[in-house]
Formats: sequence, C-alpha cells, structure tokens
Amino acid sequence: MCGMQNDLKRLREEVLGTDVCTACGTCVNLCPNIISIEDRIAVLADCQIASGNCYRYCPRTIPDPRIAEALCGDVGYGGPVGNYSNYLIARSRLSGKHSFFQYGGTVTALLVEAMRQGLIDYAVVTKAVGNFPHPAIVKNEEEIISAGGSKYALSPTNKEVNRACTAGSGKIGVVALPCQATGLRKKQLQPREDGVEKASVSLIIGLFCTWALSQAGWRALLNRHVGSRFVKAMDIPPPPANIMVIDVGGERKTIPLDEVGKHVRPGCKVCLDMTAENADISIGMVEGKAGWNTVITRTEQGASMLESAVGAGIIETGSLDQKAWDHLREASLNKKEQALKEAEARAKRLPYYERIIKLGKKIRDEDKNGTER
Amino acid sequence: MELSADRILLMGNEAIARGALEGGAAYATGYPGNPSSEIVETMFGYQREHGIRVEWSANEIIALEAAAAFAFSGLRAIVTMKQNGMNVASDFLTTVSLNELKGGLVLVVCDDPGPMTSTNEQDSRHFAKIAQVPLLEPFTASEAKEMMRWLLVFSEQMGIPCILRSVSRLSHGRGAVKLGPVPSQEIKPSFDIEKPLVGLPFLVTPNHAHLLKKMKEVQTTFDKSPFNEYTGPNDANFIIMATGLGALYAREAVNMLHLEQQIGILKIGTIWPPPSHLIRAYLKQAKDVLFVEEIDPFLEDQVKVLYAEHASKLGAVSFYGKNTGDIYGPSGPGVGEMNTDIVLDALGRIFNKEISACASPYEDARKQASILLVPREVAFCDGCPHRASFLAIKAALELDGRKGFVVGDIGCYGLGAGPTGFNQIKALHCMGSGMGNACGFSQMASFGFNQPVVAVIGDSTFFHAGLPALINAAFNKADGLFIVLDNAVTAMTGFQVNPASPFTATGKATRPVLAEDIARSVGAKITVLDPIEDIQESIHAVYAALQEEGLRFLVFRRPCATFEKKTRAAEEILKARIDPESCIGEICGCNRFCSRVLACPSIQYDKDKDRAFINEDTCNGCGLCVQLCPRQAISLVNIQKEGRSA
Amino acid sequence: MGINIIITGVGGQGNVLAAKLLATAGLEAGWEVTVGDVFGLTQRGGSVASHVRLFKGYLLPPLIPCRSLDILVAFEPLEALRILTQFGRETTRAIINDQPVWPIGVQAGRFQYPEAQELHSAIENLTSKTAFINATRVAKELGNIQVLNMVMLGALYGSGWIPLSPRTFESIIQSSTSSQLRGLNIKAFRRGLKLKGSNLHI
Ligand SMILES: Cc1cc2nc3c(=O)[nH]c(=O)nc-3n(C[C@H](O)[C@H](O)[C@H](O)COP(=O)(O)OP(=O)(O)OC[C@H]3O[C@@H](n4cnc5c(N)ncnc54)[C@H](O)[C@@H]3O)c2cc1C
Ligand code: SF4
Ligand code: SF4
Repeated sequence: MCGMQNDLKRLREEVLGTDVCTACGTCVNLCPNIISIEDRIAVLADCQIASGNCYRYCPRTIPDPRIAEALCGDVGYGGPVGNYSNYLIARSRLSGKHSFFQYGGTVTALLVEAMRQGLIDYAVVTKAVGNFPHPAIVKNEEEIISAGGSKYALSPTNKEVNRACTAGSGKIGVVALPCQATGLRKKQLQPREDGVEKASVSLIIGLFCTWALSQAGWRALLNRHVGSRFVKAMDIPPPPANIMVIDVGGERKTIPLDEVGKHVRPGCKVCLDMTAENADISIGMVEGKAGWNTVITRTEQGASMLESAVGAGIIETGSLDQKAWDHLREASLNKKEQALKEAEARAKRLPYYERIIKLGKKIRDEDKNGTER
Repeated sequence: MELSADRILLMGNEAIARGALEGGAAYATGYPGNPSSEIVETMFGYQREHGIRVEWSANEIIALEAAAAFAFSGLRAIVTMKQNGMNVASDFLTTVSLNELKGGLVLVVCDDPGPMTSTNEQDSRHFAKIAQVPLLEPFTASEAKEMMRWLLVFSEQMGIPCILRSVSRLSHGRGAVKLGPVPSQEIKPSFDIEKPLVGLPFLVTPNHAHLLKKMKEVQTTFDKSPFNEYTGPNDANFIIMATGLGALYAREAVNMLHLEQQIGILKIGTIWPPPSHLIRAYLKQAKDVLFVEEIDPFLEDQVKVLYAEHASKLGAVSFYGKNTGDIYGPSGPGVGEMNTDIVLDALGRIFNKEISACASPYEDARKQASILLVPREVAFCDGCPHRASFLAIKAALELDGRKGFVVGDIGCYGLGAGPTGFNQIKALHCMGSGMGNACGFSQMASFGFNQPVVAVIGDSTFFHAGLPALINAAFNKADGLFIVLDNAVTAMTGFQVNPASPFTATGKATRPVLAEDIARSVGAKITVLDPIEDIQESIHAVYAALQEEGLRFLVFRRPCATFEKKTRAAEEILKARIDPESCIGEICGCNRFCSRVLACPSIQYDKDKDRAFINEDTCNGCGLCVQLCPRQAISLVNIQKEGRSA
Repeated sequence: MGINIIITGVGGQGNVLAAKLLATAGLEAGWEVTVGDVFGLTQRGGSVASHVRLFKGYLLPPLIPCRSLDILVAFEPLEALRILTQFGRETTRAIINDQPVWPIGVQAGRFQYPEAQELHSAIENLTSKTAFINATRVAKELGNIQVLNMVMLGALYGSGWIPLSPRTFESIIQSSTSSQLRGLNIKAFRRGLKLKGSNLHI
C-alpha cells in the first residue's frame, strides 16, 4: 500500500518541495498533514489517499481536463491578460479614519463594499506583522482597511481560506495573488466532497503580480538595508526605475532590483500569470497615474461588485488610456515569455514545465501574429 | 542445594542489594541504567532501618568517586551501573586502584548481552584487567548475594576496589535466596591526613607494583574460592569451563544430551585474576575444553595464555570457543546472549549428536505460523511528551527544508530514532553524544556543511553528560540548537529522580535544577515551553530557533506521562474522547491522522464502524490529538467528574 | 523433572508481577524456581515474556530452551503465537486471553494483524490443548484492567495443569501485592479460577 502512487506523493514530486511551488497555501489546512510557517510548506507523513484535494487544488498540478477549459493564467491561454469583460481605472473614495493604500485603494474599497452589502461574511487578507506578511481572516471594515498596502514577500493566503471554509459558514472574499487566485478557482470548480466545508469563496479579488520574494529573502534584504526598523510602506516604481523603495518612517531606502531579484521565489520565475487571470476582478497600478488602480473585470461577480461600489460612492472610476492598456498587455506577455524561457532552461523536468511549454507554443504564435495588439 | 524455609524469591538485583546490606555497606549510589537500576532502588528500602546512605548520582564517575570517599574513610560502599557507565567511571577506577583503601568498595556492573536496552554489547570484564582489580561473576541470584557480601569484606581486607559483574538475565531474573544476618554499623569514619591518597607521577610506579603484588595474593585466594566449582565425573577429559549463567546453560545442555557421564563442568566465579592453579589442574585432566561465557571470550583468552605458559607440563588440549568459532548463536560467535540452545548446538556439533526437533508436521506448522507474526515495535507511551516534541521537531525541520536532522542519545527519547518518534534521530550512541556531535557538525561550516543540526537530550542525560558539551559549545562558539526534553524523571530506567526532579529519591521536596538556568549563564538563547500544550507553538518555536544563529537552547518541559499517571491526584482524570458524529472516518482527507500518523497507542481506528476511537483505559488525556483533528472531533473529558455526577 | 511456563503479553499488562507470584508459589510448595525476565525498553508497548521454571534436581538457567515449553499463559493472542513459534512443542498447553492488542505498526497501517480465524488455528496447531478466554472483560467488569494478570493466573490454577494450590496462592497475593489492589486481586484470581467451567474448554 505504501509503495502505491498517490496524490500527496505526486504533489511532492511535481510541485511541493520543487522550484515550482509558489507557497500559495491552497494545499495547507485541508488536512493536518500539510503544514506551513511563513512561506514554507511541508508534509508531515505520507498519505494513502489515492486522489486528494491537495493535488486537485494546487495551481501548479495537471488540472482535471473537465475544468481546464475554464481556466487561464498558468492553466490555459486566454489572450495576453486572460479573459475579461472590461478594463478601466479606479480609486477608493473611502473616507474616515486614517488608512494606507498601496495605490488607489480599490482593493480595500471593494472588500468593504462587499461586506457592507452582505455579499461576503469574512475576508482573507494579508496583514503585516512586524515587517512580515501574514494571511488573516478578517470580519469587519476596520480590519480590512488595516490590511491595506502591498507586502512584496509571499505568504500562503489560501491556507487561511481553507481554514475559514471549515471554521464557519457563509461567504468569503479573498485578496489573492495570481497563483492564489488560480488555486481558489480550481477549488471553486471542484468543491470538497466530504461535506466539511460550510463556507465558500464567493469573491476573488486578484492582484497584479510580476514576482514575489521569499520570506527568507525579504529577511535578508531587511537585515542588509533596514535593520530592525519598521517598514511603513514599500513600492516598486515602474521601469526604468529599476529599484525597490522602502519607506521606513519618513526615510526612503532604495534597493536595486538586481539585488532584490536574487530573492524572488523560484516558483515565480516560471509563472505565466501577471494579471490574476482567474480572479473575478484584477487590480494593479496605473503607470504614470499615481493614486489610481488599473482594474480588469472578468466575471459577472467581479463586474457587479465594482458597479455596486461605484453606485455606493465608495469607488470612482475613469477609463484606462489605450497606450497604458497596450503597455500592460505587453508587460503581461513579457512575463509569459520570461517564464517560458526559464522553464525551458531548467534542468529538472517537471510536469508543470512540460505543460506550460505546450501552452507556450500557443502564446508565442498569437504573439507573433499580433492578435489583438 | 538444600531447600530451607527461610529462602525467598529475589530478583538478581535485589539479591545483590541484599548482599550489600549483609556485607555492611554504608553507602550505595550509582546512575540508573538497565539492567542495573533495581540495586540502588532496593537499597533505598534499607535506608531508614539500617542507616545506610543511598542516592542517585549525576553520573557514574561521580558515583564511584563519592563511594570511594566512604572507602577512603573506613566505611564500605557500593556503586552500580550498566556497562556503558563503566566507561564513564573507568577513569577514576584505573587510578583509585593504585591506592590503598581503608573500607570496602565494590562496583557492580551489569552487562547487557544481546542488548535489550543498550547501545552496545560491551563486556565489562576487561576493565578488571585494565584497572587490575578483582572481579567476580555470579551464576544465580543466591550466589550474587553471597559474592556481593563477600566482596565488600574482601575489598576492605585487600584495600582494593572490586567489581561484581552481572548480566541482564541474572539481574532481572529471579531465584531463591537465603537471607543472612545484617551486621551493625559501628565504625566512625575518618580520613587519615597522614596517608594522602594521591596519584602523582612519581608515586604511580611504586603503587602499581604494590597493586600487582596484592593481585598475586588475590589469585591465591581465588584458587581456593568456593565460587569456583567442578561438577561431573572426576576423570572427565571433556571439560566445559563456564562463567556466570554459562554454567547453568552448560549443565542443562549436557543433561539434555545425556552427556553427564562424559563431560565435567568447571564453573568459574572468580574471573579476574583467573584462578590459575585451579585451571591448570583441569587443563591437565582435559583433552577437550569448551568455553561457555557471556559476550567476549574473556576466560577463553586467559585460559589459553595459561596453557601456553605451562604447555610443557600439560598434554595436548583442543579448545572450543568463540575464537575458534565453535560456539555461536544465530548472529555468530561473541555476539548476542548465551543460552542453552547455543550450548546444545555446539555440543551437538562436537559430539556429532542430533538435536531433537519436533515431528515434521509440527515443524511445518511452526514455519506456517511464523509468517503471521508481525513485529511489536516499542512506542512512546500514551500521552508521552516526546511524541509532541518529535512531531514539532520533524515539522520544523521539514518546513526549514535544508535537510536538517536530529542527533540524540540515551533515554526514552532514543525511540525518536524509530517510527514512534517519526524516525527523527539520525545519530545515537552514548550518554551526551548528540550534543557533542552537534558541536562538531557546527564547526564544518567552513567546509561547506550547511545542514541544520538539532541535538536532543533528556533532563537526566543533560546533567550526566550534556553539561560539558554545552560549555564546550559556548566556549568554541558552536552554532548549535540543543533541545532538552525535560520530563523531570529518568523514565527509561524505571522513573528515577534526577536533578531536574522536584523531589529527591526519598521524597523530600528539593529545588529542581533547571537546565535553562545553566544554559543562560553561558549565554545561550533560551526558550522554554510545554511541547503538548500548543503544538503549533512548539513547531514555531523549533522553526524559529532553526532560523537563528549561535547557541540556542530550547527546553520542552512536561512531566513524563506514565510517571505522572502513577502519582497524579485523582480529582481530575482527563481522557480524550472522539465524537463519532464529528469523525467522518475514511472520507475525511486526514487519512486517519490520529491513529496512523500520530500513532498514540490509545487511538485506534475501527474499520467496521469507519471511525477512530480512543481506549480510555490507557489514554493519558494529554490533548495532543485534540489539537490535530481537522474535524475537531476529539475533546477532553474529566471522567472523575463524570463519575461523580452520574 | 520440572515445569516450564512462559507468561507473555504486551508491556504494561503485568506479566512480571504474575511471574513473580507464580514462582513464589512454586518456592513455597517446595520446588526449586527461577524466573527469566527482561524489562526496560520492551515495557514501552513491546512484547514481553517471563520464563518461570519449577524444577527439582540440578539448577536450571532462567531461560527456557527452544521447544521445551510446557504451559503458556498469554495475555494477548499474537504474543502467544510468537512464543509458540520459538518454544512450543507437541505437548505444549496454552491459556490465552483472546483480546488482541494491536502493535503500533498495525495501528499505523504498516502491518496487518492476522485474522482471528487464522491466528486461532495457527495457535491450535502448535498446542495440544488451548483455552481461549476473555480475561480482559473480567478485569474490566471488576473495574480495573490492571488485575488482568490475576484473572489469567486464576485461569491457570483453574486448569489444573500446575501442581499448586489456589488457597496458598491467595495468601501470596495477600502478602505480596499492594494494599490498594489486594482485595481486587483476590477477586480477580477467583473469577479466573471459575472461568474453567464456562469458557475454558480443556
Ligand atoms: C507581491 C506583490 C507583487 C505585486 N506586483 C505588482 C506588479 O508587478 N504590478 C502591479 O501593477 N501591481 C502589483 N502588485 C499589486 C499592487 O501592489 C497593489 O496591491 C494593487 O495595485 C492594489 O492596490 P490598492 O491600492 O487597491 O491596494 P490596497 O487597498 O492597499 O490593498 C492591498 C491588498 O493587498 C493585500 N496584500 C498585500 N500584500 C499581499 C501579499 N503579499 N499577498 C497577497 N495579498 C497581499 C492586502 O491584504 C490588501 O488587501 C503586487 C502586489 C503584491 C502583493
Ligand atoms: S503551489 Fe500552492 S498548492 Fe501547490 S504545493 Fe505549493 S503551496 Fe501547495
Ligand atoms: S509571480 Fe506568480 S507565482 Fe509568484 S507570487 Fe506572483 S502570481 Fe504567485
């Protein structure tokens, strides 16, 4: 029995413990056997269950053909930025207590509106504890707002989603990086059959993402440049700046991206998804327009959520100019190209690489033909 | 041997303790270790009535040194240890033997052939030769008592420390023992400052010569000792020379093969120095000699030396022993425990005799049945804190991902090398070896070694042998993570107290020595926590320690569950209980995590009902499983309260 | 002449005390006795076996040779089989508490505990007479699983296979077991004695 192939074994061989894993956390807290601290995921013992949810939900495994159709990003190709219904710019009009947003605060405002409308009962966001990201289940506006601002190191958001799904009942909104959004979508498409989850994810707000740091790497950068001082905010200004900016209570530290790049998680370097193609709504920065967000609506859910927030006056919108849109698509394709090159270059052949390389043929063809460009 | 009404059944170790009492011991100490521990434990029982001072020492050499102080001052003392402890004590033994003792001093060492609880299979008799001290080896509980009594007096007479060697099977076996009188203690101890006992180099040679001279006298005494006994035909020319239990195995085998008329057995109880006149006499009579002894061919070697020295006056003799490969168990000569079957086989080969088997259908059934046998591996007890500690360590090492590993040493937690401890310990040798190894591993960084190393050590072992390693680590700036698994008793050897215990062996409250207090004083970073209380926190603590550098010292402190059960107040008896409604059996993705992975002996899985359940008879209510069930199906209930309200 | 008895079980089931009391009874009845025991590591849930030898004549070692077992008293059926495969012979008789205690490896799913049917017939093939009893139930009915060993010894005495008197044994329980358990131990022993009539088919 022990020698038999099973999903945990496959997950370990193909993803977990390889340079493919993104520490999204989708496989954690489904059972007591996969655990995590910071962005490290580990397995305690072998498992005899032939087909397991850990493998089914992981964004980097071979998807069940029945759901593959419905997925973009790392799983399928739906154009340079995936399937979408609309793109625009937006910013929050939340007023009141002091709050900090990364750019326009659209993410925070959307969550707040979803909670006010009763469309979600909890949200899973990423808080800063000290200078490190921690996923957290939050239940009110204040907590949502206090989680504003980007933390550029990875933390396994989806493990808290899994916990929220079994701990209570109701609907959950999640702020997810692209890989996390893919994991969540896979889970949504193949719900658990054991009936233990009483709550479910009903809103996935995706963040744009080019890469994220490992927490050990982030710690190394902090040690080198910041020491034990508290990081108020951080940002990666668009090219050609080529720096990471860290705001330590008024003082601005800049770190060259070359140095930062050394601490990017290896899993990010083979990621095809910059715009969270499997989210309900995806949000990032707007080049050259500080204080605003680029927003891509993808699903009915995402679009109506935005509409409702605009209606409530929490969010104001504008249109994204064509140049910026083209630029975004170019950047997104560029990430895909980089990832493909990296996957081709890696010595160890893993099923994930084979899969995206196959996908890559389609991407490159379309890229050459300049479809939609 | 005549039966008499005043014989009682005693364990070998109890008999040795009784011998110490009858031999007038004023002090007994040692370090617990299977199979020796019950000697000192029995002595505790004599303490009050007979005014003997009894205590557990922090390690064997300290025990021997403390006992020697009694002997320096004219009182008799005994020290007990297992064979590994002999190595620890030997540094002092080999120097103190060069001095004249005023009182009797006997060191009891219990060897563990075919180890049942040891990390080696050492034959401690060699130490008698190294230190040049007399050594006796008994063959029954009764003789063990008698030898102990006699040795205390003899040691005092000769002024030399003496050794009594036992083995597991004798120490833990039981036999009839006739009790003798207990002398009264009248001597007032004093140390004669006019006769310093110092081992300065210029004194060593004369003292050594003096010792060897005394050993000649010992040999003369041994030649006439009643501890050596010949049984069998007076003119037998096939002689078995046997020591200890070997004499009994030999007798049973000889009689089973009906060779009583052809074979004589010379049982030798005085092993060092060997009774050379006696042996020579039987070498003269013999044409063939078979040796039966535990572990090494110790007697065999000595007899061959004697034979060589006197060959011209002796006839031709064929020797059958371990060196010659004539007597061996399933693993070969000189390894494993001796028994009657091994002697039977050896005699069968020498005398060309068939060893009777059962009829073939029976032997076939035996073979068939063997296939059904599944091993019964030892496991941490129900509620053992070590289970949680090793789970935390394993989880943290897996999370850390740098192929870190655990080095450890001797104690219950040594089971951490097996499945019950998630196979975590990767190097395990002797007391304190893990911490010492860790010091070395941490010095290999400049060669590119980058695997994190965790050294685990028990509370008792920490005081026994971990302290020097801690200090060495601090001094040499070792980059180590030391984890003390402090359960407040020396559990493996039978729950003896140690410096971490809140009370002494006699039950008096005492201030426990806290390992972290010592570690703090050498500048280690300290974390102390209960491994079970919050397992996630335990995992985080180990993980966090792994990410740091320098000397890190983590104490997992929680009382030994089995010991606590024996002593716990009765108002709260917690048991874990699984709600069969919440447990969903096989469809739960946990894959029977509680019974299969956690593998607490109290948690079982009922295949028919497809539910896990807890055996409340054995559950210790530690609550570890409660925290890990993904369905929150397990809860702790106070059955005492339930009983009362019902 | 003599009787070779092995009391086997799982660490913690109380075989050591049982062996000690049985040997004491033998000694009082005028036999020469020896007990072979090992404790320590094996007590942590491992297999345990005490060799009890009652004999007259020359001294015997504490270990029973292979194929020399007269009577087996097993607190657990798998352990019974383990002993029989090494020490059993055609004339061996056995009293077995037919209540499996799963080895940790079985619990963890690494090994399979033999099916009851298979186990029983393997045991019967290696004995001349075997009584399977449920001493665990009796001990539980008495309210303390710790007295399992006394129930088993009761059954041994009840079998009539050993030349020792139950009356003397009760006085040994009186004088050598802890005061809290004394009364219960005697009750357990008596319940064991009576098991003869009901489910001890000898
Ligand atoms: C690792 C990382 C890389 C990114 N890379 C890009 C990029 O290349 N291009 C781009 O346009 N935008 C990128 N973004 C997104 C961008 O930084 C903003 O998060 C986004 O524009 C939303 O802005 P906002 O003002 O609406 O956010 P806010 O209203 O401030 O809300 C920020 C939200 O992000 C969540 N969050 C913070 N850190 C993390 C994290 N590590 N993991 C998951 N969730 C987190 C918080 O829970 C909070 O809800 C990245 C974000 C992250 C965390
Ligand atoms: S990518 Fe996510 S789901 Fe897959 S193994 Fe890594 S943490 Fe688990
Ligand atoms: S780059 Fe891809 S894999 Fe890395 S954090 Fe972003 S979305 Fe996840």
